[in-house]
Amino acid sequence: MTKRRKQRQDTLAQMAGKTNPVLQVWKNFRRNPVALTALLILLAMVVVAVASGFVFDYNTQVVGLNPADRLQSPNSAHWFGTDAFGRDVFIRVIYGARYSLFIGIVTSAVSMLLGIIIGASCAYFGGIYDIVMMRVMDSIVCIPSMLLMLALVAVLGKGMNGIIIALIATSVPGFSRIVRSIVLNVVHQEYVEAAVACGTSHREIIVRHILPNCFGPILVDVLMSVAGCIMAASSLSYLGMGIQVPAPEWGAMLSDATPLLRAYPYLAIFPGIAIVLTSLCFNLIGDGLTDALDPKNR
Amino acid sequence: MSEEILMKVTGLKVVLPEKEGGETVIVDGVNLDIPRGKTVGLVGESGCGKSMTARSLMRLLDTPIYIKEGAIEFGETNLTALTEKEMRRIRGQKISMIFQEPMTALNPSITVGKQVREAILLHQKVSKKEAKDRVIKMFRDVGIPDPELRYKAYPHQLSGGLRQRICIAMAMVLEPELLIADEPTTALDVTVEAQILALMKQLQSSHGMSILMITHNLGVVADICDEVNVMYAGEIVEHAQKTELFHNPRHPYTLGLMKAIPRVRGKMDEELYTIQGTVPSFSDMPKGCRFCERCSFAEERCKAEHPPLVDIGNGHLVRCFREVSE
Repeated sequence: MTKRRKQRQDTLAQMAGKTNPVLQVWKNFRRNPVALTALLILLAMVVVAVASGFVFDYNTQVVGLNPADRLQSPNSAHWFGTDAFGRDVFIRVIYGARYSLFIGIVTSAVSMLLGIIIGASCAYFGGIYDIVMMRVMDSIVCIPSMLLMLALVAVLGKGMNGIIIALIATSVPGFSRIVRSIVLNVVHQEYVEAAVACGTSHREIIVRHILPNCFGPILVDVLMSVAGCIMAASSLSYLGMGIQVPAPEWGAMLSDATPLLRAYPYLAIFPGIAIVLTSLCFNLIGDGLTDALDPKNR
Repeated sequence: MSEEILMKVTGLKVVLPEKEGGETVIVDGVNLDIPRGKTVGLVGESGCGKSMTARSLMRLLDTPIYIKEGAIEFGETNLTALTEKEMRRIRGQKISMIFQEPMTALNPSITVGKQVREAILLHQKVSKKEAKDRVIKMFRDVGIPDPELRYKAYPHQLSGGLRQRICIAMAMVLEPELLIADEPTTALDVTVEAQILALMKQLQSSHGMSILMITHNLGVVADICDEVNVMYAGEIVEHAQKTELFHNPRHPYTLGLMKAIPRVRGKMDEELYTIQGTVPSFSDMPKGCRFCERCSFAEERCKAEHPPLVDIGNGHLVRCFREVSE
């Protein structure tokens, strides 16, 4: 009887520790110092970006420009110095995080959603539908993405909406293909067949049995894509086709700084660091998550 | 002979269309009667079409494979004529299936209890609480220790034997009339195999369902089946009651299978009998008897003509010219 009781307690303990798969992934993720640091930096950025409106007064500290303060090197009053109009670069960089994070996250989320709908339905239903959809996606991928984005922005108009739509249009095809291949792997698992044998409907099978088992790899791709979107958005702005000056978008700030690069390099360095750091963080988190989701680490 | 037939399969023909316009016949004119409350075995080696037959009974064939001819009468309904939606109501509720690999037959991201509960909620309007109680009762019926605890377990936390019990619970929870078991014990070790077979027998006597047992293991057949169908290269070559088949195997293929069973009391220095050659491929099927190239009794006639399935008495059917000529 004591043996049986002990066994039961062992099972209980084992289950309490391992029951929730999400918790398990978080446990693995926590063990990776690089990814954890990246996550903390990113969280700090989000907090700062959201809170910046309460801490700084953009209108007096930045827009209320002071020609006397123009082109100051970094100092105690202006941490990142000031630009050609006397605007504080530090505050502009912080406000810029709002644009970059918003664009990156929104476009990735929307393109992921569209990618899942297209990719999963193609993989699940197959046949002519799959072939036609995938060839449409292929033909979009054929066009160099920067070219396509520029063309779309030219049609849709510069600014936030144009940039977001252009980014979504260029990232959906890649997403659909990735999701399709991930789903194809799962569709032929026996538990999907077992679910069909129980009389489960198509919708239930996709939502309950297929997508949850694809969630990990898809999430990793989304994080990676946020980094890509932030870079692409900055590139468009740098080329003058994205967010327009005087808005403090990082790419646009770089563009402003270009003529003064030799004399005042810090004008380009700080927004540049912001762009690199943000996309690096997303990439590192994605990497960490890939490892954490690896079943061998359970 | 007065027993009630639950499922009657006649002339089932399953084909795989080829790109060049031809087709490969995978299951060729199979007739199968499954009496109510009995266990029917379908035996054959890998690739002989036994799994395909089982799948067609539930209309679970992967496209582009499809049922070209034949009728599957289940009670009053002909399953081949049903729409996909109507078929969905039959699956799980009237006919359910156990798969070969308990390791992969459960969704790794849902707890086993919820998976089984879903099978109930799919077909019946009951509250979640009531469904859960039924799942736990079913878990107890299939011999899962601590069912309340296991309800919350994920598949990877359970052993192969326990997982197969969960699969059986999932297949049995709606009390289907027919349970199709596609090599349910192949992936398990022999002690667990014996437990699972005993469980299936016990569930059959308490719930009264019919079982179609797909297997390549004659030991399993001897243990659990009432009737046996031996399949070879897409057709049934011999059909008999279990005792009749084991005492009086008539088809050379069945004879070969029997001889190939290792025996505890066999001679130590004797090499185990094997049937020479391999199964002919479906794309290159011989015109005559499909077994003739491996058969030690083969004559000229076997190569030229296809033997019919003849009744040699008491419902013992054999597809061999040796029985015809008498």
